[in-house]
Amino acid sequence: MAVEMARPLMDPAPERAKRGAFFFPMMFMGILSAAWFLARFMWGGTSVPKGVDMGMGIGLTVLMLLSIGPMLGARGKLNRGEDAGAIGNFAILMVVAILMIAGIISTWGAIPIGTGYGGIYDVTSGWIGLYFVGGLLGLLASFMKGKRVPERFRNERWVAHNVVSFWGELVLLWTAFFVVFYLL
Amino acid sequence: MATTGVQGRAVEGTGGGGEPFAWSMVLPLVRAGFMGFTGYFAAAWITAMIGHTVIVNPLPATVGYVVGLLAWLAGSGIWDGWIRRAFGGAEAPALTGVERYFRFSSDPKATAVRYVIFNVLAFFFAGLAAMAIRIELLTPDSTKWWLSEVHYNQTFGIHGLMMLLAVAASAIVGGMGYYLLPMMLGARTVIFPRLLGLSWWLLPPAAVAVFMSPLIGGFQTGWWGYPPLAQNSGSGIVFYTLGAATLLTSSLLGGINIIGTIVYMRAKGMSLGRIPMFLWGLFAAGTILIVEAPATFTGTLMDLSDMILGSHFYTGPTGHPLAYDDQFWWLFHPEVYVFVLPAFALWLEILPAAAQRPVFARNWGIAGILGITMIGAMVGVHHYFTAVSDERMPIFMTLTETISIPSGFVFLCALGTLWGGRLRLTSPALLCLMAMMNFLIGGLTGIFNADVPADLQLHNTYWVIGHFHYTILGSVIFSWLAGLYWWFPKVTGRLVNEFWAKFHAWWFFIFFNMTFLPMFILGIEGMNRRIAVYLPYLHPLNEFVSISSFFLGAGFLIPAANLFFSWRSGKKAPQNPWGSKSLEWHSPSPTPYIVFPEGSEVTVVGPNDNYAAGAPEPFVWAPTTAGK
Amino acid sequence: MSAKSENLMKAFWELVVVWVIGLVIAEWLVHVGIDHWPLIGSVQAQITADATTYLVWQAVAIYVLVGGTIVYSAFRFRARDNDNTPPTYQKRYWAPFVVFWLGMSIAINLANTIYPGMVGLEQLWAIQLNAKHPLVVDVTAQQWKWTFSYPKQGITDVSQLVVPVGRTVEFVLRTKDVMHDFWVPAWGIKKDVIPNEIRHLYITPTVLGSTKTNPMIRVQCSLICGNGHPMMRAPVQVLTKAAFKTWVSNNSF
Repeated sequence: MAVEMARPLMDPAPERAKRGAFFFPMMFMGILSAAWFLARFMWGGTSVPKGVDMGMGIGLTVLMLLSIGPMLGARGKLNRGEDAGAIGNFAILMVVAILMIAGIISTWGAIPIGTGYGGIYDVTSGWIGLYFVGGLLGLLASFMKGKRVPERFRNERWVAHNVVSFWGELVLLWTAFFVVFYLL
Repeated sequence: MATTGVQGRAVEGTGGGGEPFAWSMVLPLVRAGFMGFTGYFAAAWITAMIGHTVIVNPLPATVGYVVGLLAWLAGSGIWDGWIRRAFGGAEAPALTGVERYFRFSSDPKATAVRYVIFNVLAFFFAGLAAMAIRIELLTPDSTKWWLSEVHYNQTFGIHGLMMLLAVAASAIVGGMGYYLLPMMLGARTVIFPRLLGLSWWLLPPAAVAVFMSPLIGGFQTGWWGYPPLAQNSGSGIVFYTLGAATLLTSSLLGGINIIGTIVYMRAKGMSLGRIPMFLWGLFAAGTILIVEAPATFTGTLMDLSDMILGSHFYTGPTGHPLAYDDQFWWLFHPEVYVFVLPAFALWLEILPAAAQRPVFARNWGIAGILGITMIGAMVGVHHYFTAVSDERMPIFMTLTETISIPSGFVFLCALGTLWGGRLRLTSPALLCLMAMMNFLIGGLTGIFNADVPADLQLHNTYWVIGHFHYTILGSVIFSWLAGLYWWFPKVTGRLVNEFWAKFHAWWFFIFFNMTFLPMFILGIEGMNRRIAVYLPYLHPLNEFVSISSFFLGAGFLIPAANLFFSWRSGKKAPQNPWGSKSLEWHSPSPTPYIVFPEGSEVTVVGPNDNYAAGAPEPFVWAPTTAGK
Repeated sequence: MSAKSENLMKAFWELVVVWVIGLVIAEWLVHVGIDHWPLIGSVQAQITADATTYLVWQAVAIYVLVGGTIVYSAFRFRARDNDNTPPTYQKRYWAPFVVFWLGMSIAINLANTIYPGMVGLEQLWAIQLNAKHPLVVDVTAQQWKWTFSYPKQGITDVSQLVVPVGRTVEFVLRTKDVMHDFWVPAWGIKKDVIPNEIRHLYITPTVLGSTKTNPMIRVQCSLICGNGHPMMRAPVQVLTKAAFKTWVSNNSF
C-alpha cells in the first residue's frame, strides 16, 4: 500500500489560511440563523406570547455570556502556546454546551408547536441546538486530541482556534436568539 | 514546456501509487452501502415500532434517512480517514493509489473523479425518467400501459430534482472544478481537503433516497415541493426535502473550499487579475451558495417540519404557503447561476486556447460573472409573478431583465476572442460554440419570463420548459461534455476519440433543438407544464417532441462509450494536447498524486492567455524557501 | 493564410452580409409564425400577446446578430489542419466594440422594461381600475375541480364558466386546499390561487366561443396540484350579452 510520504506537502495551507477560511462556514451558519430569526417575525406574531419559559431563557443567556470568560481564556492560552491550560477551558465549555442543549430541550413544548410562535421557536432553537451539538463535538475532539497526542494538537493548533471561534459565534447567536424570541 | 525539467523531480512514491486495482479496494464502498441500508431500515423500523406506525410514514422515514446517512458515512472510511485522528486516535495512512477512489479520501482529484462518475450515473437514471415522461406524452390521453398520473408526477419530480441538484449543480463545479481548483491556482490541494472529500459522500445517499421516494409514496409536487400540496400528497416528500438539503450541503462544502482556496492559497504572483477565468466562475458559484443557500435551507426544513412535527408554517388556516415560494426561490434562482456561471467561465477558458487569442475584454467578463452573482440574488420573484401582488412586479421585472446585461458581457468576451483568431475546432471547442448558441436561445427566451405581461401568459407553460432546458441541458451539459473532453487527457493521459466526440456533438445539437424548440410553440398554444394528459389538439407536436427526445436520449450512449473506451485504450496524449497556456497543463498527464513537485513553488509572472508568437512563459518555478 | 493578409475589416463586411441575409430569412419566419398565432380572446390577451410578439421580433434579431457572429467566426477564423501558429491579431481590447455592446445592452434593457414591460402592466392595471361595474364571478378551486358562483345573479356552484362578451369580469379566486392557478389560455393571463388568500383577476373577453369550438377557451389549472392536475379543467362559454341574460335567468333561483 502506497502510503503518502509527504503529508505536509499535500496539506500546505498555513494556519492563517485555515483560520481565515473557517469564517466562510461560520458566515453561512450566521446567515442561516439570521434567516430563522427573521422568520420569527413572519410567523411568531408581534409580541412574545405568555407562557414562554422566561426564567430558562434568561438563565441560558447568562450562562452563555459567562462562557465568554473561558472562551477568551482559551484563546489567550492558545496564542501563548499553553495548550494544557486551553484544554482545561475546553472542558468548562463542554459542560456549558451540555447544559445549553439540555436547557434548549427543556423549553420545547412551552408553547404548542402547532402555533406560529411555537413552531418557529421549536425549529429555530432545535437548529441552534444542533450547532451546540457540533460545538460540543469540536470541543471534545480538541480536548481528546490535546490529552492523547499533545504534539499533534500543537501542530494543528488552527483546529482548536477554529473551535474557539465557533464558540464565539455560538455566544453571539444565542444572545441574538434570546433577544429575538424572548424580548421582541 | 519550460517546466519539463522541474517535473522530472517528482517525489518518490507520489506518482499515484504502484498497486494495481484489486477488488478488495472496493470494500469501503460496499461497506458504506451495507451500513447505510441497514441503518436506514433499523432506525425506521424502531421509530415505527415506538410510534405504532409503519415504516413508510414520514417520521420513520426521516429518522431512518438521518441514521442511514450517518451509517453510510461511517462505513465510507471517514472514521479511519478523519474522525479517529481528529479525536486524537491513530494517524490514518493517506492512500495515494487506486484505493482512494473507492473510499473517503482527502485528495481533491480522487473526489473530482468520483463526482464525474456520480454525475454520469445520476444523469443516466434521471435521463431515463425523462424518457419515461416523453413516452407518456406520446399520446394525449392517460396512457394505460405506461405511467399513471400519480407515477407521472413522481417521475418528473425525480427527473427535475436529480438533474438539477445531482447533475447540473456538481457536473462542472464538482467534476472539473474540484480537480482544477488547486492546480490552476498553483496549490497542491484545497484548503479543507477532508471537507471536500465529505462533500462527495453526501451525494449518493441523497440521490438514492430521491430515486427511491416512490417506494414510500413518492411526491407530487415536482422539484419545487410547494406546500401545502407537499404535506398532503405522499410521504416521499420527506426524501425530497432531506435529499435536497443534503445535496445543497454537499454543494456548500465545495463552495467553502472554492472561496477559501481562491482567497488564501493562490501561488505567488497570482493576483486577482491573473486568476484563470474558470476560477472566477467557480468563485461566483461558491459565493452564491454561501450567501443565498440559508433561506432555502430554512424553507426546506420548515416544509419537513410541517410534515413530521406538526407545526403549521405553511399548512392549515394560519399557514403562509406563499412564504415558501420566497424562501425556495431565494437560492433556487441563483442556483441556476451556480450551474451556468462555471459553464460561461469554461467557454472563456477553452476558447482562447482553441483560437490562440487572449480572452477579449477579460475584465468585462469578470464583471459580468460577478454582476450576475450580485443581481441574481435579487430576482427570485420572477419565478412566481402570477402569485405575487402587483406592487412587486415592476421592481422584480426590472431587476430580472437587468441580468441580461452582465450575461451579455460573457458573449462579448467570447465573440471578441473568436474574432481574428485561428480557431482549431476540436470537439471541446465545437461543444462550447454549440453551448453558446443554445444559451443564446435560453437567455433570450428568458426575457419573456422576466417581462411580466408576457410571463402572465407563458408562466408554467411548455415555454418555460423549453427555456430552462436550453440553459441547463443546452448550455450546462454541452459545456460539461466540452470540459470532460478538454481535460480528459489531464486525468487519464489519453485523448478521447475525436470522430465520435464530434459525431455526438452534432447528434446532440440537432436532436436537442428538435426536442426543445417545438416546446416554445407548445407553450404559446396553451400547453401547461406537469401534465400527463393533454388535449388532442396538441398531439402532433408532442409526438414530434417525444420522438426527437428518444434520439436525443439514445445519443448519450455515444459519449458514455467514448469516454469509457478512450479511458481504456485511447490514444496516448501529449502533456499539453491543446497548446493551452494554463497552469494545469504544466504537470504531467495523468496528474501525479502530488501535482507540483516537492521543493519548488510556482510564481506567476504574466497573464496565462498570452498566445502571441514568442510570448514569455507566464509561470516560472523557484525552489521552495524555508519557512513557507 | 499568412498573418499579414488577415483583413479583419473585410471579414466584418462579410459578416454584415451574413447578418442581413439571416435577418431577412429569420424575421420572415417570425412574420409567418405570428400570422398563425393562437386565439387571442380578451383585451388582456391582446396586451400579453403584443408583449410576446414584440419580444419574439427582438429576440430573433439578437439571435441572428450574435449567433450569426459565432457561426461566421467559426468558419471564417478556422485554422487550417496542422496550423499551430497563433494569429498576429492579439489585441485584448477594442474600445469601440465594448462601448457599443455596453451601450446597446443597457439601451435594449431599459427599452424592454418600459415597453412591453411597464406599458403592458399599466394597460392591465388600467382595465382593472376603470372597471366600474364588473361582473363578479366567485371561483373556487379544489382538488381537482372548479366551481363558479355569480353572487349578484344568484347563481351558485355551477361547474362551467359562462361569461358575456365585451364586459370586464372580476374573478374572485379562492382555494379550499392547495395552490392552484386559474388560467384560460385564450384569455392570455393567469393567476395563482393561494390558500388563506383571496385573489382578483380582471378579464374582458372579446371573442365569442366555447371550449367545444376552440380548446384554447377552457379553464385549466396551471400549477401542479396533485394527481388530478392535468384533468382539472372546466368548460367555458363566451356568450353575447343577450344570450348571457337568458342563461342567467335560466340558472338563477
